[in-house]
Amino acid sequence: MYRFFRYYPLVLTGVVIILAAAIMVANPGYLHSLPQSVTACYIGNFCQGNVGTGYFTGRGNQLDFDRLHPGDILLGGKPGGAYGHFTHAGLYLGDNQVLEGYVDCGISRQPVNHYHRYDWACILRVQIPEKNRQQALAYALGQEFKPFYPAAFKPGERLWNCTKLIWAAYQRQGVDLDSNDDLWITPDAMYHSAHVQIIDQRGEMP
Amino acid sequence: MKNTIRWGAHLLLIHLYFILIVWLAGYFPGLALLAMGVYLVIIWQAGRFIAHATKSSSLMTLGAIGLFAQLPGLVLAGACLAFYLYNISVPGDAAFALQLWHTPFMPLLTFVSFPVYQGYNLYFLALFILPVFYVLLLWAAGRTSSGQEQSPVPR
Repeated sequence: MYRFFRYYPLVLTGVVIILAAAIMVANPGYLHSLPQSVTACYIGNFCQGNVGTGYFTGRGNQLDFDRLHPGDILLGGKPGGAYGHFTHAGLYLGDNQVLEGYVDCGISRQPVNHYHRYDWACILRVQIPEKNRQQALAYALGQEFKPFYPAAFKPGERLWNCTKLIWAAYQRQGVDLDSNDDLWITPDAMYHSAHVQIIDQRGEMP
Repeated sequence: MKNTIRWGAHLLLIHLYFILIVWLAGYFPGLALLAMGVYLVIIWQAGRFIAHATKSSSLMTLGAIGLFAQLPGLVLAGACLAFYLYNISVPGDAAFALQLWHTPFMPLLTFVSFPVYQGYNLYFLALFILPVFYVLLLWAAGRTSSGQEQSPVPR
């Protein structure tokens, strides 16, 4: 243990480098696309003082919930978000309920009306047969109560964030909603996906 | 006091490293669990070693060292409690930061994930008592170190 305490900065730095290198090997094109990545976006925003999920201004929006269909994706955004224009995503379940991820509740059902609080919001519909949409919903519901972790990588089913849950549900149906092909998936990447149709959008859009 | 800061700073730095290690290991499903296991072993061994080096396995000594190492987590937990219990607005996303601070334990918390109180999930509530768990782990390890050979740490 004495040796460990003497050399651990060296040893643990080596482990970090090896793990980071292993992720790069698993994603050979990542370094090349780094300037367009979530990482670059986050660092850029961090330098401007934006480190979290932004702040509500109180303006709200008038998104038309009547146009929602089970399986639709809800995106909400507010100024000051560190990882893109939109800062939150949820999967509409029907009956005014949305499946989404929060740090204190984990993956949980929430009422849809809180999406009116966001300064901008939109409804996306994934272009996929209804049967597959239902299967995607069933998969997402199977993750209910699992932990939320903001920096969860795309692989794995133990830790989720709001966007990864939706991406994984549709990815199992053969639809990759990540337009950036990144290590993480953000709401913005889903907004720009070629597989979605915009059903309604209110407020400032990217 | 000097020893508390010295060993606490070592443990704090080790914790910071394992935030990165467990997070990066999370890319490869299963590896994060292994990384967390290594972290727990290191904390256990550190507790034994520190008790030996300081010639004290008391809860006071190891508790102070453990609390020093977990100081950022305690501050963030305090900020979260101020927000949740008293609705006091705290700067930044304290709950996110608290969770990120406890990244080395996240693989363990995936096993205790279910709603327990008004929608709050047990894994989230557990974040508030993890510093206590950390201190108890150090102390328990320190208690087992009696009778070991003299530490080779130069004084």
